[in-house]
Amino acid sequence: MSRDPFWLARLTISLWVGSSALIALMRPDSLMAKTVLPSGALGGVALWGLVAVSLIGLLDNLMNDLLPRCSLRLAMRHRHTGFMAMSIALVLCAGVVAKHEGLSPLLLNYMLPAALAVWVSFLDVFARYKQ
Amino acid sequence: MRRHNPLAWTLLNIAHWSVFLAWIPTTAAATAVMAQQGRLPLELDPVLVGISSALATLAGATSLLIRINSILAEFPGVPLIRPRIFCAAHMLGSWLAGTAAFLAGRSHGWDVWYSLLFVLLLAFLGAKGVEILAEKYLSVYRPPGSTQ
Repeated sequence: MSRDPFWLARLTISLWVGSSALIALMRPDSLMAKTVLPSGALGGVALWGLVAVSLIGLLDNLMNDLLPRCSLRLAMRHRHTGFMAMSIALVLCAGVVAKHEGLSPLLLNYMLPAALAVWVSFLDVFARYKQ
Repeated sequence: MRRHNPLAWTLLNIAHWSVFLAWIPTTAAATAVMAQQGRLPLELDPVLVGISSALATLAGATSLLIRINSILAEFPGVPLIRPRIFCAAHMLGSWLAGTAAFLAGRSHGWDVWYSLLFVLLLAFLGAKGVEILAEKYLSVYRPPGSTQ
């Protein structure tokens, strides 16, 4: 089994972002739900989008890195698109929070995983074709 | 080869950059005058400007990654001939289109979601447009077997 060098970073980002978005959708009194969901229907769409992209990331991790003799080439070849979509959805949520709260430490909750997802996407694309 | 006078060359360079960077003091002066007269056309929230810039950057980076991935998938290990121009083309296109979209969205008073989505969409299209133009006139990678 040959694992991608960034598989653990990808797993961490997918779990981090997916669980935050899922908690926000399940618990209306959570911090993310209170800041994003009142902005309208698109807030819910962004959170469901984050859950969907995280699930695809987890499936990619499971099939291409964790399970032996399993491969999902489509997910591997378009991995960077998923992580960039995740970071864009996070920055969109940060924009909505910034509109209502101004410059707030809450923004770190969105901007940090978004920055990490972009960094991992770039490293992953170059590492994938290095061999 | 014809040799240039160094002093003339330096002066020409200074003149060139002065013209290129003239939009910065022009914009600053126009903003100051309009603010003094109390008729600023837009209320620009600095945090929202920052978030829109981040979105335009992400749109450009996504377009860049998609292109790099398609080049490397077709020719693994192929060198990029002009990596800086290649990156600058994507980012310049996305920032210019993103700025135009942000100003259009704010001047029409759109909801924050629609304003940000418009910035994202136009920045991505801008990056793709400049990518197509740049690749039409410049070689950005060297396919195996080519002599260029």
